[in-house]
Amino acid sequence: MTKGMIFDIQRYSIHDGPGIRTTVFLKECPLRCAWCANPESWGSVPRLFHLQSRCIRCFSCAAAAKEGQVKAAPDGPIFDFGSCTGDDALRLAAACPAGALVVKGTPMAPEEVFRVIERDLPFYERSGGGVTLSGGEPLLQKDFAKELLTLCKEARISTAVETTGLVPWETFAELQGLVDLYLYDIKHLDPEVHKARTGRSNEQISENLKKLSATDAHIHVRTPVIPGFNDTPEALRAIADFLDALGIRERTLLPFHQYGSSKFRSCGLSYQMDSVPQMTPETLQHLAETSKFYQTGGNKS
Amino acid sequence: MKKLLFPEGITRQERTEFLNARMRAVVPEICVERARLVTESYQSTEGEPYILRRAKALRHLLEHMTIFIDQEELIVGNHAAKPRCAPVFPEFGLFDEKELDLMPVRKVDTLQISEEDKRFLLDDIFPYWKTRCAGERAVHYFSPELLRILDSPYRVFNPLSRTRSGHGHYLPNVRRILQEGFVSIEEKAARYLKELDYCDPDYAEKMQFYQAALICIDGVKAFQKRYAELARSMAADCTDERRKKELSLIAANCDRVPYQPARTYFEAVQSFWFVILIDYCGQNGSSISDGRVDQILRPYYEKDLADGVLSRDEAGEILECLWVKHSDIIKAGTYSSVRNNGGFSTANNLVLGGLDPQGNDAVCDMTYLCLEAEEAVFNSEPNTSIRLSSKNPDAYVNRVIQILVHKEGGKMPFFNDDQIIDALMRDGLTREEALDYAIVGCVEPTGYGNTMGSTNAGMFNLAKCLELALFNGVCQMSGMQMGPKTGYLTDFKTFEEVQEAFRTQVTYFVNLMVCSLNCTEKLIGDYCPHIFSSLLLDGCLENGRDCTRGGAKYNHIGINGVGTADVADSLNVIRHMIYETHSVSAEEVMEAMRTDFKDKEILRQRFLNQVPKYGNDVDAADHMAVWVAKLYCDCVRDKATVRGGTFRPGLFCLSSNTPLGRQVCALPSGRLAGTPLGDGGISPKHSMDTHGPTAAARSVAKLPHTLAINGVNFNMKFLPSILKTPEDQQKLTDLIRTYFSLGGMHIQFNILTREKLIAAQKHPDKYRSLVVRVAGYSAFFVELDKDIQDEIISRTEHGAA
Repeated sequence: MTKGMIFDIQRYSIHDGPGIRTTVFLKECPLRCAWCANPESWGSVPRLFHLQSRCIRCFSCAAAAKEGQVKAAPDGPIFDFGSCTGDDALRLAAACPAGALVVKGTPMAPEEVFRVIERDLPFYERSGGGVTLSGGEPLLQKDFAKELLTLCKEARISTAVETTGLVPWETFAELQGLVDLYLYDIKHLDPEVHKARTGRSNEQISENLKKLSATDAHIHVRTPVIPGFNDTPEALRAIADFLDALGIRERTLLPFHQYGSSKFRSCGLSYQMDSVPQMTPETLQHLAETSKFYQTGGNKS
Repeated sequence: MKKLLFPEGITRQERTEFLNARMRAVVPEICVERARLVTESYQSTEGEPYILRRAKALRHLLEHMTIFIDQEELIVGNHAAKPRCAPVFPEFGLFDEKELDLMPVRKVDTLQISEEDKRFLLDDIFPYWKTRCAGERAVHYFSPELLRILDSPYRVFNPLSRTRSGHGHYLPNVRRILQEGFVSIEEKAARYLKELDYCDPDYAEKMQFYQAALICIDGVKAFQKRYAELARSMAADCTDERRKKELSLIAANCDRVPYQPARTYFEAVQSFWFVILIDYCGQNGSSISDGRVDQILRPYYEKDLADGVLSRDEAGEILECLWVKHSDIIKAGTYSSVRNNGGFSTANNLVLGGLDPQGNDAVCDMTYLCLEAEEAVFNSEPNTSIRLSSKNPDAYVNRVIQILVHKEGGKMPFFNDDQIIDALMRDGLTREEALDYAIVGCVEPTGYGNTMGSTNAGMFNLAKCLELALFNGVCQMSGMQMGPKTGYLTDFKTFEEVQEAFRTQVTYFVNLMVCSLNCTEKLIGDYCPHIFSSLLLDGCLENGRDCTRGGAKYNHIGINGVGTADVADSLNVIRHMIYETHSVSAEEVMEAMRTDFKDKEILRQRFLNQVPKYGNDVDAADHMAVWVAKLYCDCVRDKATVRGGTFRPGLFCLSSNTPLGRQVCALPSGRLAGTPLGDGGISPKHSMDTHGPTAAARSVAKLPHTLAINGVNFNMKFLPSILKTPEDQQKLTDLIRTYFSLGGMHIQFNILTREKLIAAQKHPDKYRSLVVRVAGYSAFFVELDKDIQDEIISRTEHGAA
């Protein structure tokens, strides 16, 4: 049995695959995108997370902290997040009466996670839903993912995985037959641009998608549209052409949003996208049309 | 769209928008005309039996009240001398000068009244009623101990408001009037009177009842005749050919119904409105409910359509006139009463869908026509509800959700048809009657046309009982010894002793409440018989007895427990922190409750955050709520009522959770003194259900819904952003259906934005059409009291971005 490092389990997820789903969020990601909506996933160790709105400024955390971890300022505690990880994070969170300090990253056995998932079985059955593994990059914890997915398959719960694609091909090969749907992110096709804005090149991502598309896996590609990164008809059309070549028709553009901004601050990270406006449905629609993103080339259906 | 019944010249949409805009623009006033007419009548009938005096007062009213037919109306019949004004019912209860002064300036249910009318009521009308009205007579019906407890503003329950209003809260058998007309009721009453057995020991009561029935029917005949004559004379004077024709059709309707059976759809709708309206003119009660309007009108609609005398669009046009008319009926309440409900909630429940008499899917085109009317008019009245059987199609549910999303306001709760039908059969209804059930008021499943359910006879404060159970029966808000001396929290060695003390308090106050309500109902039966309502309830004519005296086939009194989640969460904290982890002492808990957590915010936060709460699908926490709910229901059910039948427990609160919260000190759940209790009967406490709607739904489904057969409510609030696409909406449909398959009985959604509500608070003028559902009923948001608005805003938002 392999424990997974989980940072959230969200029931009634309705935008992570078909039907009503439970989404399990796994820690750590190979990428570091500035627009990330879940920066608390970064890093493999449990991370302290401070919810400003719940903080009552009682400084119980300061009393429980080691030297230098928490500074009591008039506006509330200031954390040295880098040193507040692992057991220290747990101790500080336990000291907080208000639920303002939580730990993002809890080791859980597959059975333990499965017991939460199976509670919504009747909802999945009615709606055609199931479980979705997300993150971070859930496939970084492939042994845990495999065990959990196996439990779900045995219980006839439909499975989906949201992935960056940036894991060794062997991981995909190993999970064959356990994943009913891949929600696969393709962000940009230019390796240089990809590396500059996400920290890693996209070669392995593209390569894995090619291989995966050659199997009988069900793939739905999603592209977050980020201003200044890939919000041009050319960049999006390039992705569409790539998908056309692989015969992948299911694809969705996701508009850039700012929902992750407060999370950056909550885990002591600086957020670079404050000045970037959220993408309106109209802008997204316009980009989809000008790039003919949803038109599958020469292969009309 | 081709017209078949009406002349061309105005479209359905134009008429509906015109009528609705005019209705919404009314500034409600007090109307003193009814008070004058009723008092005249009573003064002229001194010494006669009360039931005859009451019948004569109704007849006098129907013969003399101002009537009018407004521009473009197709369905006629008014409640007061002007549209959407509140008549006065002095035979039930009076207002003192302070109360009348407050009416035009109070923030909720604001009612204008002229100085002249105020003086008229205070000087000419109310003195006569000072010793005669039901409200003032109540003092003679309660024991001194009861009066002492009721005198406290922090009491566990309050049965007195009912003495001021009459019962309301039932489903008149209007369908029978449509089919047979009052003429058949009249024949029956006359025959029973004639054939009355000389040796019947109840001869006098029965004779007087039948005499009273015939007097009421005389009043009905006079009333419709006056409208017919008015329409005819207006038609004669009308120069617009279109309106002239419409007025002639109205006159023809009023010549015929409701005394004669309805032959056409148009007559049926007119008859329907007259019957409901007259019932509301006769008594001050709210929640006299329409029932299954789609099923009742369906045969008339289908026949006229088949006969080619009515188009679908015209049927919708007539229906929308009926929908708008519902806002005409408002009642004047005291401030202490209206702040509990607010928003001129008459709570006339109208229910759609469900199963037909054979147990098959009853959703039909008439159902969709009703949904169109709901969407086009979308006022707080009628209080439209959705019967949902597993046999009803998804398309029907999706249509309802589409309207809710489009209107961004919560209305139209869903009721689990399959479960309720079974539960009502176990409760004594025949299968045929159970299949025909409808909803009374907000959430109360009730037999149609056969049950005097008195479904909202009182709200019972469970949280107050917990306060008393932890403090030896002493009220912490006033220091008064209110309940039995069951010891202090510090005395209890085990958690079971805490539970036992709570059980003792609940039992004591339920018994007192039962007593007080039986006394109240005796009073109403003695002085305020509901003769007109009795004509519309199976059993009353056959038994020769008024429905306020047990004449109806089925009799209940419904009392509703409030604070389930607060009590369960508090008991969870007590059990966990005092008796399991020993992390807090009983003294500390008592001190925190007594001082409202003064200098104990850290402790309060621990209570709030470190113990699992009801609503997160955590079995241990949820089972406490199950225990509380079951305890209350078991205490209430099977107790006998003065009318026969039994008391029925419910677990819903409308918006009484706010005023009831004012009566309760700080609680171990972390709730501060005086703040609202959890909203929506069996809903998890707001902000405490943090695991999403499926977890909340599973938690709530663990409760014994059908034990609380008088009704439960489970409110869930959504931001519109999670219901944008048809796929999202389908998922909500799936959520509802799964919740029902798990045993849920009722679910209600509020789909709106927090910003919208805050903006509405600041700029009521811009948001007058925003209808919100306040814990089981709906009202114009801007008409609610501010703290009730605040409470709505603070409720948990599922799917918040």
